[in-house]
Amino acid sequence: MTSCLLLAACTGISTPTSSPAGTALEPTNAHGWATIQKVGTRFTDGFETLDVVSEPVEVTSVRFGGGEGGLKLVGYELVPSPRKLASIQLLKGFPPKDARLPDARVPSGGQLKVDPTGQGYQLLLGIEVTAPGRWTRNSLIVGYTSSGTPYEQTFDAELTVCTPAFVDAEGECPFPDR
Amino acid sequence: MLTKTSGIPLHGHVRGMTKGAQLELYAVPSLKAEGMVKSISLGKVTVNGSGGFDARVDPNQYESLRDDSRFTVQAVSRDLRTHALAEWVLRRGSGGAWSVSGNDGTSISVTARNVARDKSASTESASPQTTRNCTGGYAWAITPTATYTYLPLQKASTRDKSTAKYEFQTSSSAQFEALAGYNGANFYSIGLTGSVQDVWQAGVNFKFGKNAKQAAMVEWEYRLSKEYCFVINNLVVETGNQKWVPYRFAGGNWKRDVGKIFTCNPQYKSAITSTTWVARTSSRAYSGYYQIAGVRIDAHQTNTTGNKMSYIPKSGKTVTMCGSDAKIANAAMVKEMA
Repeated sequence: MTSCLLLAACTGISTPTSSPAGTALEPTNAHGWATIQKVGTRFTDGFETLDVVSEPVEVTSVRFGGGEGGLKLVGYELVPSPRKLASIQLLKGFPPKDARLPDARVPSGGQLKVDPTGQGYQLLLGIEVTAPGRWTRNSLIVGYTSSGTPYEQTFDAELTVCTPAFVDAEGECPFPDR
Repeated sequence: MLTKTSGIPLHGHVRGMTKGAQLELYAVPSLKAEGMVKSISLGKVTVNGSGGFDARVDPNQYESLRDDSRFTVQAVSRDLRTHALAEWVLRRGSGGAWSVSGNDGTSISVTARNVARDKSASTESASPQTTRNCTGGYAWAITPTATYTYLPLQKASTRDKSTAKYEFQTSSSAQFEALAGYNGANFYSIGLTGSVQDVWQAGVNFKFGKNAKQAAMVEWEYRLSKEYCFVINNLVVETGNQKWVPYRFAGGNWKRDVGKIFTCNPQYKSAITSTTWVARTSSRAYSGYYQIAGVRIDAHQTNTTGNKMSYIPKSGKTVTMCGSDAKIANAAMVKEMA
């Protein structure tokens, strides 16, 4: 399978900002996680999954929805089912190599369909920490086409990353107060 | 005034009333505290042969609703032989659009009850004569009569590799059941509604240790709300319609041990290594029931940024979690796997 490591698409440049809000992917409720990483580290956020409710869908871009500051999205991949786990939150490096992940990837331009297993597609997000601080990605914006029409859908998928000097008194990386 | 083509469409269904029977519709602004809130008469709807009825309402036509972010529309039977009261809750979203929820999703469903045969009903309130002459309209008021109950919010299930915490900081997203009845008899659920008062300043943080199977419980005050009728000469009488409504967080909280936890569907497993905020809505299967006025009802509560269920893996450990009915970011409940 061809990897769909799409550096250009991660910037969101390829998707018109006027895209209507999409609903072909199942919305998720607000959720999030936090991790402590050193500056310069490249890791994979593998917590998110995409579930198609109206097929076919071709993912064209992924970008952060603000607040990320010192976090840089360096690429993404989509892993189809079946998988041992629906998602694996944290993986080293990007693209990740992990025995728990199958080798299969959705190729660039590949179509996503309704997954009868319920696992959906695991979204592997390559992230690099570029500056010290406590950084919070507020959301993820996924661009896709459905029947030739471009759409964008926003997911309340929060991620907080603390560099070691920015943890709290208990040594934790706290979620931001909202 | 009900509109024909514009406004928010409302759908309902009533059992136990014949074709051609009429229900009166009222818009009732949000109750903020004790005191009377005048109902706005919208008109009548006629029940069709299958018990269905439809209406449209345009909140912009009413000054008292225009600035409200939430109000109810009530469908009420006034024929004095059958009692029926059901309501839709209308909420204005941040974009200005209104959403409708009833006890049947977006619609409402109610069974009309025979008042005359209801022997447990008191006859001290409205007589048929007085309610027939409600020329001054109707109003609802929250009375000082209160009852207290513990509501189950969320369950946590940990083993030896994680702990959990539930931060309940606001009730603004919590939806609790309201009940309706006639003269105190035979109360029945009329669906979910927000609490009259918010609890932003009085949140509770629940901590669940290792090997915990517990539900977070909060004490809630319910108040009896009554409908009044304005008859001639400013005389006010009760109509007999009553509701128990969630009023405010009463301050009590505890963790109740729970027994059986759901069986994991392997498709809903995820591995986590650090603090993760999960789980959305507690449903009847996973958070339990409570009782108001002898009626057993189930608790629903939605997590937002203010209400978070989080699992915290032990440092350096990867923990497999499983969602009850979906993957863990969307599940009603999450548990740690062995």
